[in-house]
Amino acid sequence: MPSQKEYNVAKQTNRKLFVKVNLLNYNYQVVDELSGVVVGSPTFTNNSSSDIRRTCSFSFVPTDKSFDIAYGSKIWLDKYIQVFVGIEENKTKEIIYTNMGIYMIDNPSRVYSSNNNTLTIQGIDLMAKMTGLRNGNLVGLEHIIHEGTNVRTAIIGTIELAGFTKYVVEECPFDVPNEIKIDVGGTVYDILKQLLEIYPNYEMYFDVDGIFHYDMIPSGKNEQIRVSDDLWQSVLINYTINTNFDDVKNDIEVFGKTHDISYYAIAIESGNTYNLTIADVTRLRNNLKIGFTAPNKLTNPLINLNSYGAKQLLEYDGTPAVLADDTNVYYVCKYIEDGDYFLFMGEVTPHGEAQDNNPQSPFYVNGTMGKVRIVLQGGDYDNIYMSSLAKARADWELYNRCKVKDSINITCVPIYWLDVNWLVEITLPNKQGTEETNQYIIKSINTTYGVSATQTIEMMRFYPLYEDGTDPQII
Amino acid sequence: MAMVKPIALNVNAFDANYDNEFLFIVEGGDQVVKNKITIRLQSDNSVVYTNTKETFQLKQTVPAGTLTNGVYYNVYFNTYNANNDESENSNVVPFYCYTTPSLEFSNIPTGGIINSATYDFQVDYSQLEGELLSNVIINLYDSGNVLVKSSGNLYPNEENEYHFVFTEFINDSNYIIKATATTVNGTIINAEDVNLSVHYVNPILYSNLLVTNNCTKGYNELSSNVVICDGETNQDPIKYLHIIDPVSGNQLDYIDLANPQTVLAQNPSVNYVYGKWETETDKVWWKQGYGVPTDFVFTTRLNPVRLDNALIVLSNKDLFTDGYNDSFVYTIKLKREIPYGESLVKDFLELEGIYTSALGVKQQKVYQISNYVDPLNHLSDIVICFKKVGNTYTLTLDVQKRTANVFKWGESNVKFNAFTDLEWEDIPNTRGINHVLVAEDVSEYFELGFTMLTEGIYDFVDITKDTTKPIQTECSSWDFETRLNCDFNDNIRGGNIDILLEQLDYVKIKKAEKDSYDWVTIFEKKIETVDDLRFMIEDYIMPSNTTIKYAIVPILNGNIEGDYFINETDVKWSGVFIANNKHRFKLYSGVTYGTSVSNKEKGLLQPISGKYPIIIQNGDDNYISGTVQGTLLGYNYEDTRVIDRADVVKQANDFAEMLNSSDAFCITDWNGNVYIARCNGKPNISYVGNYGNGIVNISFTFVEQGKWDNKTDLYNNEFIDTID
Repeated sequence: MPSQKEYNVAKQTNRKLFVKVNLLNYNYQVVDELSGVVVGSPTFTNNSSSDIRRTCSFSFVPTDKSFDIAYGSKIWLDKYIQVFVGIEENKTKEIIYTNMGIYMIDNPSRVYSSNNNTLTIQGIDLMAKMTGLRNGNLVGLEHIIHEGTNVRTAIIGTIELAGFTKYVVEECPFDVPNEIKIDVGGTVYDILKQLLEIYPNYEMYFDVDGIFHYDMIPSGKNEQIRVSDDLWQSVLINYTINTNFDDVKNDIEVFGKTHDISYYAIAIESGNTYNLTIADVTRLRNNLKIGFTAPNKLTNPLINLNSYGAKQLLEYDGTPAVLADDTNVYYVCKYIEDGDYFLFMGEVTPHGEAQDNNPQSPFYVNGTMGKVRIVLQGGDYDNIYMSSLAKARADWELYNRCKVKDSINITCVPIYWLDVNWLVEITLPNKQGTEETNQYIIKSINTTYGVSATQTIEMMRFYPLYEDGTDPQII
Repeated sequence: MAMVKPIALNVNAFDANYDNEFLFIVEGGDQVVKNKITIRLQSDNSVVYTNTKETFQLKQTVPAGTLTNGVYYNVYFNTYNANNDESENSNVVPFYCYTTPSLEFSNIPTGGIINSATYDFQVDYSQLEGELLSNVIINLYDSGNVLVKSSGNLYPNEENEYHFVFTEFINDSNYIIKATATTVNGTIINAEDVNLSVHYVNPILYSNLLVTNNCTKGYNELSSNVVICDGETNQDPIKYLHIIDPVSGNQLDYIDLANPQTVLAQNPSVNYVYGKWETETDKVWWKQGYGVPTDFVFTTRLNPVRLDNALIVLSNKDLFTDGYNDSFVYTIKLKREIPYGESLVKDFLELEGIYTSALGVKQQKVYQISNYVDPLNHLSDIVICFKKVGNTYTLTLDVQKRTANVFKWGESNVKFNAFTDLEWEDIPNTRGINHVLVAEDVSEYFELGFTMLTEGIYDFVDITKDTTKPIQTECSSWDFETRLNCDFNDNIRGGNIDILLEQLDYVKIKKAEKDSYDWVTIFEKKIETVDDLRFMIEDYIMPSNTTIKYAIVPILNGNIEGDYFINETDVKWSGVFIANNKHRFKLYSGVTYGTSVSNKEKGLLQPISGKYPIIIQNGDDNYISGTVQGTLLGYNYEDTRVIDRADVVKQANDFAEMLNSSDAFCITDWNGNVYIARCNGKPNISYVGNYGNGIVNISFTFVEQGKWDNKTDLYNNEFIDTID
């Protein structure tokens, strides 16, 4: 959140701009600064959908040999840069700086000619230290994360491979479903990417303080409005509404990877227990996966395999499994030794559907546009191993493919402290039409620095009455 | 309405042994009447503390001792409305608990007493769990708690130390030094404030700094006359006397070289002869850092202690080190006789100039006597003045005060082994002869560089080149003619700086506008020999129609800055000058300035809803640009008033080279304009046909690069070598 002073100077009609670049070592200690030599128009990008969320670009005038691209100098592989943009407060003359993030120096290039001597560097956020772009290739032959490993624990262990110890890593509702194997030449990020894909509503990124985040993508639901018309009216220059009809889908169906089941039985009901008999199974072991069909839908179902004792059949969140009322559906479950229960994984081919059922949405399936359907399977979708996950993924796809297309691009006088995934409220001026106050979620920000520089913000419309689909509790 | 997600604010690392406040904000949604804080271990997200509090305040305080130092935690909040509806979890904020770090100044002298104008402050940081430091700011305040100087953000040196050098301590002043540090996890620590008292021996230069405004050539000429001439003595300790004059009440300062040695006391009849004083009397001498020219005036004031012994010795050689062979020595003695043809006893001075050949053969080259005075005694206060102009000598014995000797039981002021004005029956006075004066040309033996005083209590000594000066009875101050001067006020320094050569590191020349104290060092010289103290520099970076003051400042070992000796001059420039440290040019007829533009980058952005645009400007950029046109007439034209074609060509080529180089230059003119600038285009040089192509017209564009009185600008543009 911006400080009050940062907010105030963003509303000033007279802006005197400053830029300060701190040099940090890998312990985040400030070891020097590059103030006073920045030239040209630095640019900043902040894109919520990019692996490397933040980037920047600078040009410097080298003032001494410490700017040589060499070991021991200011510009070298062992430095981070932290960029601050400042606006002078008109009354007090105090420069109010905004932290624009911590970056790795990438691809410095120097132009030296009879009339030019500039050093240009690209700044890429710290994710680059794990993607292999600047570092992150794994040591050794292969890395394996075992099935059933806690995702949070796996992520913390993984980022520590890259030397990061500051993080916010939330709990994932699921454990690692299948063994993750990264072959020779893989990167830390390859592991993280697979861990991230276990549950689609999560994101990972580095914040402006260099802290790694793995947490839920803010949906906008019950979020605080970070920027309102109080500020927009002072800075908004123009806007463009973009709607891509081609990509609009309001009916999503997701199929996961079909399970390869070695053990199968037809359940015989006894009270609320499904009795299964599989001769090849000699004992209950952890992660034992079995398939079955059930004659009826039972409430609070139990499974008793080979008379080893009745065990609860539970959803991933610990609630009793709810089967379809269809004798032809082929179900899969897995024994979890730690808890002594069967985890209900849904159909043999995980399947989930989502539709835009909000009558207020312009993409309402029962509205004038009708259903526009897309079926998603294969590729990344093969990571989906439970129907509940498939449903979550379908909801998330709906979120992306339907609502996000109701988006706008605005150009404004730069608000340097703005961040992606913030909920904002804005009344778009519309002299000939209706002026509505709507809420949007910021998806990307492009900022340039300079006297004529502006900021371009891409935002998606947020419908407050939607079920956002990001809360596992409602699946 | 519903409950919106609270936003937990960042938490800096803190000491778990103390209470800590956690804050969050809520804007919109239902009124929050209750909130819950949840703190978890980062390692496994297990909850270590949770507390629900009914309050409208958007914060909670975690009690001391709840958490553990050295552990990484995270925190989030939930809020509740009057219906007890719970909000979603806030964002999660990670934080560390660390034992309170210590930050302290590590090199404050005992009692906080700073003995120099400069001090290098160092802060030491330690933290039990090894949390790293991000930056340090050291601020210096005066005794009224007004900020004098801030270090800004300090960064660690290669030894991971944080230093801040302050260079402008005012003597006999009090200060407070404060330090604030921020750790990499945001903890802010303050070092304990330290009260400082600054007391240091302030070296003073007595030199004149001669400043001359050369308006037709566009520079001020500065000449330094710093002389270090450290005296030496065989006394240990040196016997300084401080006597309050009963008449004036002033303190009079002396050196006592009159105490007879033991051997003298035991055998007062020893006849002191030339050359004997080296080991047997107290004496002081000067043998470096000055030179006595062929024409000079030597003056000293003393109470002599004996007759017939050498009081004063002047030589062209260090007699102690080099001996007498191949030397020329002046010796002045106090003598007593009945002058030739008279009947009463008188005292007078005798001057001898002896040349000793390389083989040790002595030749008298000079013999002079002074005026006669009534017999003196060891209480007599006399001034000896020895003036030499060519081969003409004037030796003057001037009695300032007499006190008659009394020899009576209990009231005697006769001193053992000192001469008296009383007549002794057993020591008949010599009847004088008709002295034959000798004054051969001895100029080949000059300059003299050895001066010695002995056999008296001396008030001052002075050697000057100014032979028109009347006889001094008081110690005069230094001027440009002075060669040696010592007042014996607790020192035997004969130069014009009250410090020893080995203590002196640098001499700086600084300048400022008359009413300003924002000094800029324009010249700095490392001092290794006394000759380094004599220099001449030219300064051209200042506007016309101002008064500029210059200071010559000694810098002692340890970067101790001495007192400023200040001289000033009114500045006038007759013409337009373009100069840097390599070149200086004067533009003559037809000088024109193009339109000078004050450049300030600004942009306008027009918001849709705003009535007025937003003006955006980049930092502090603001500079002048323009064009200059004029005529070059050659380097020597100002002196010769003759146009020399070769000289003009050379000057034109040099001018073009300077403009085309990346070197900055300074433009000054009659009107008071002064620009530190660089040429940003191609200089245009054309030979003027009307003058037979003998003179050159030039024009060029320039861009301002700094201000003449801004030391950083001057340094960045290579006009000065140091920023204090």
